Amino acid sequence: MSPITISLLGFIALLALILARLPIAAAMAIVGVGGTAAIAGWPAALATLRQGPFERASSYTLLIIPLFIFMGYLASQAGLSQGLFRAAHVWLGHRRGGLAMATVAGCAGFGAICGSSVATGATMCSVALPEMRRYRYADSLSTGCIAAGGTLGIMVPPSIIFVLYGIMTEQSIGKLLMSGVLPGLVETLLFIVAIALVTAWWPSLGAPAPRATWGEALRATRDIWEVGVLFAVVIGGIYGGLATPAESAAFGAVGALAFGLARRRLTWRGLVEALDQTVRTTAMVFFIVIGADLFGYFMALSQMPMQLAAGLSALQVKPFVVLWAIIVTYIVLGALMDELAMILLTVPIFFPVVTALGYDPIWFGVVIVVVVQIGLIAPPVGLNVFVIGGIARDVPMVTIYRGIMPFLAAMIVLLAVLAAWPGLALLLPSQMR
Amino acid sequence: MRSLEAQATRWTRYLALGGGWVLLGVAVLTVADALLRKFLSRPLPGTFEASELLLAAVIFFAMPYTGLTDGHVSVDLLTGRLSPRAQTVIVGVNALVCAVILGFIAYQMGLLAVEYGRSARTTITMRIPILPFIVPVTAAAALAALGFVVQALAAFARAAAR
Repeated sequence: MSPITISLLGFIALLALILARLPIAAAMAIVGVGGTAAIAGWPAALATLRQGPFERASSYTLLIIPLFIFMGYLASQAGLSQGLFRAAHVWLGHRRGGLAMATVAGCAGFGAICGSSVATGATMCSVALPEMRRYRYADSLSTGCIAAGGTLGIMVPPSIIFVLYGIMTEQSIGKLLMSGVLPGLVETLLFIVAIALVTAWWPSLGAPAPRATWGEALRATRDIWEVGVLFAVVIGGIYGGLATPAESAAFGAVGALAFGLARRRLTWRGLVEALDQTVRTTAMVFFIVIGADLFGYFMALSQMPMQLAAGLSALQVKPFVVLWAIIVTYIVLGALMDELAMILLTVPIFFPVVTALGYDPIWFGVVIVVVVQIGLIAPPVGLNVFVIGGIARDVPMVTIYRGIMPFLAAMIVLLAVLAAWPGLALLLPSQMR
Repeated sequence: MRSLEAQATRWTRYLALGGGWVLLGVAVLTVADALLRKFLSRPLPGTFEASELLLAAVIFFAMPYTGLTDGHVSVDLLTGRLSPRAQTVIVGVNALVCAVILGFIAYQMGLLAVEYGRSARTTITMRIPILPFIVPVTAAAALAALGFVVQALAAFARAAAR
């Protein structure tokens, strides 16, 4: 059997194991080791198990991942999310659909100190949903805006997805993180416009809340200075070249802890809870990374990605046709499987293709993040929708899926904007030292 | 069997939280190192290499707890339609498969530890011995495999009781 045939069989086996509900990390590990054994023999396959996991788990570049996760959970336990929502509430709440707009803005703000979409969505859900219910917002709009807004957590830096993409493709993590700033802002605006359009059409979805006084507005805005400081330290440090991404992440985590203690909002119980959630998420992410490593080794050995890249480059079609075909593949895959696994599984295959076609690797990273965002809310497997559904248990999934539609449209608009003007992603990274 | 699973979850949580405190320590160490280097030009020697070794502990110390609390991502697109009993059996079988994989990882890591022990392997710059780090990490991986066995047995017991 040729290595290419083995790699195709490997893909089928992987899909079957994932559909049989085996944890995705384990499925990738089994197929990776089995495939490597089929091509190069068992001693080679077992050698990947010997060196791989420990080396990967003790890699300094990856330290940034648990630290960003820790920072996000600490900020959540310290109540920083409440302040963000309040600040957005006083400026936007009096508009039609204003609380949903405030939720999206709050998510973008929280995304600036948290690198995970699920954590951003879950945190803002507990803060914003009760308030939207108080003003009788439609369940579809209130849950939809949180599920979609939560995905801003991975676009606005810090972002775990950018970090993983950077490690896999050997691109600068600092540049990748900065590349998410402008698209994140534009996406937030697109979400707000989507809410304005939807509520203009169906005003009953989100009635305006009373207007806040100037005093209230200024006080609420002043209360979020900690978030501003954390963002400035973490992202400013990376942008200005003052600190490595891992050091910046450590400053972020220690800073969030210090603010939480100083505000007396972070209790002992909250700290332990943050540690608990951090290590669980870390173990989950790294098990997938280790599984993807083993699978990636098998893929590289089979030469499949290189042959695919060569084959697609030789096709007489315009590069953007191939690019959009890849994007559509991602959207379909993202709707069916976990986004982290999808990235780790597919980037080694598609990245050589995309760079061979002449696309910028940093720009492609931003495109990947947008398609991951789409996958996080698109039916039938939208992780963020599941998380919000798990918190708002009385809201049927169908209602949440109906609610995310305007935001899905906004994400597709963002993809089109990025395709038309790559500078949106590349402007800030190009200015870095 | 259920109480064994509950006990295992409880004790592995302590181990995972231990790893969490280590992570907090690494964060503080990294901040101190960066500040001392920037302002006093006197970085803390060994921070980089110690952080790498401690990171492996953070990750693997949390593996048993994460497995026992269903923290790993899986897709129940198809299996969600099966009967509760069938789903419980599938959970059990999958936990056994995970136990085998982590068992293999632990075994191979153990061989690596033996190799590091024999050659007195250290980190490159600060010459920190790797053995004291890789042994607990290997033990945690083995414990994660055992955790999955406990989870599988509990699932099978639940399925039989239905």
